[in-house]
Amino acid sequence: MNLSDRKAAPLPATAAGGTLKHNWKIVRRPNYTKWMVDTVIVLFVLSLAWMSITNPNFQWDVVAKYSFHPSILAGLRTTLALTVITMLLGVAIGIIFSIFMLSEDRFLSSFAAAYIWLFRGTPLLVQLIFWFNISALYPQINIGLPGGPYLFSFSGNAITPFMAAVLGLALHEGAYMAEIVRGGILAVGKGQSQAAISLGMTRLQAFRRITLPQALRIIVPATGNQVILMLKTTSLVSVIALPELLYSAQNIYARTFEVIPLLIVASLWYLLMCSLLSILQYFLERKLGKGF
Amino acid sequence: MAAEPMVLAEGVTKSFGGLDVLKGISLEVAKGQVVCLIGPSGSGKSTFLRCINNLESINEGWLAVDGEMVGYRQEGDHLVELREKEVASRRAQIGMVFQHFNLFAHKTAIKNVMEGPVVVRRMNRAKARQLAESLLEKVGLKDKADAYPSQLSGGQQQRVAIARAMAMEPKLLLFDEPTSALDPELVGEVLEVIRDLARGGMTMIIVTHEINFARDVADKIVFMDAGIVVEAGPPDEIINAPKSARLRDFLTNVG
Repeated sequence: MNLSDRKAAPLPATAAGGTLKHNWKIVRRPNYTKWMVDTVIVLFVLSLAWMSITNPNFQWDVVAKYSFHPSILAGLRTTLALTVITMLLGVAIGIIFSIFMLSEDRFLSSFAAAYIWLFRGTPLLVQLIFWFNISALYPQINIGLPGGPYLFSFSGNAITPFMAAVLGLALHEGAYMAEIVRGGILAVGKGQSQAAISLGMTRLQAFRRITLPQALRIIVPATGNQVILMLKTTSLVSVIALPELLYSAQNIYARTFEVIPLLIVASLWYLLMCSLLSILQYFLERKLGKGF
Repeated sequence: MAAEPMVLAEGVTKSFGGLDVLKGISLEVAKGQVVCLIGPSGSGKSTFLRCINNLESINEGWLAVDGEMVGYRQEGDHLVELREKEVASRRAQIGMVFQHFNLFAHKTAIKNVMEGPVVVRRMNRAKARQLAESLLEKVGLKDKADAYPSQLSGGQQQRVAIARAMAMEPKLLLFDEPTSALDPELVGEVLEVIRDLARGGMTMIIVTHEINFARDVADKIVFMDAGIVVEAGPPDEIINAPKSARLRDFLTNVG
């Protein structure tokens, strides 16, 4: 049968007995259930908002007054600095320890596994308090060969709250990042690095140019999640009296007793920063997603 | 033997854990020769191929490419293990094409081909691009230069992979079942490219299940089974007049 024969065949009949044609107007069925659910949700959210805005106990004027208070802004800077520094360190530690984990050297992979086990397995709060109190445990800290000679030697008191916070957060984050990076590297597949090596690249070249860029595509969404988590986790360091965003807000309401408005101030800043980070993540993912 | 062989293997053995995969492989590939390795799955063909460019190291025996022992340097009566850099620079002279193409997924076709020249041979980008363009043209994919691997068919990906291997201007090309992962209708285009290379005098070792192709293109066919070379010889002898029962069985099963 050729095409001209096919043209002669009649169009199939519809159930109503009519014939199909191309310009029918299609009547869509309205989805009443969806409208109902949507309406209920909108009303519920609006009523909550109304309750909050009109409730004088929220003291929105106090929120406005303290939103750009110098000590709040100073706290915000500390929070941002902590987030950036600990995430950079955490990612670096994560990449190194993920490579250790994937190493064929049993000693290295066991060492990495022990690190991850210890720092993922104990509460971050405990780790922070530990680093804060390190001077009680080690009045003198020596880094070098066992028993000396030492490369560095300093008093335990030299660990400031900021350093304790960075140590605690970064080492904890590093353990999580190691697992995230390891997952990313494993997902790339051995064929990619083998192809690179067979071209004459060294293993380091193959990792840097071929495996890592592709692993990043998988690592970035989880890392973005970790950054946002870290932004808020930094508030834990308020327990070691480091004036980051939350602690700055607490400092103020300890004097003025305006607890709720100041917590709202801090929360609004956290929300704003999270939103900016999410936007950044979106563009980064789009850039890394090329070819997939 | 007139010319020095490109590949010379004597009693090569390899085991993984307790499993002996290669049990004494001896093989000679002359310069300009095309050798096809055939045999059932698990016979050690791919492992042997991977030993030749040191992706796997051999346990015993002698394996040399172009007169140099793979992975070692001879100093007096010692064999000194090569540094990673030295191993890499020898690998750079041996091209490899994989069953699953292994194109760099985050790079376009032309970037895949340029990667080796730019990173390993330190060629400048403009020159590498020129080289890559001419190679893509040779495999019939000039218009796909800016496509990512995910936008190419299996046959097209494998042809880019061959261009990528050729960009290193290798003295030896290894093919590890280059058409086994392809849809049947895409096998022909890849085999055609390999035939072209054979006509150009490229030295090649090809692990393949395409018996007809092997008969056409090979100067020598090597039949391996269970880690040994059962029979080796010119295609006519191997395909039309197999001596061993194992090869006869294999040829019947492959059809």
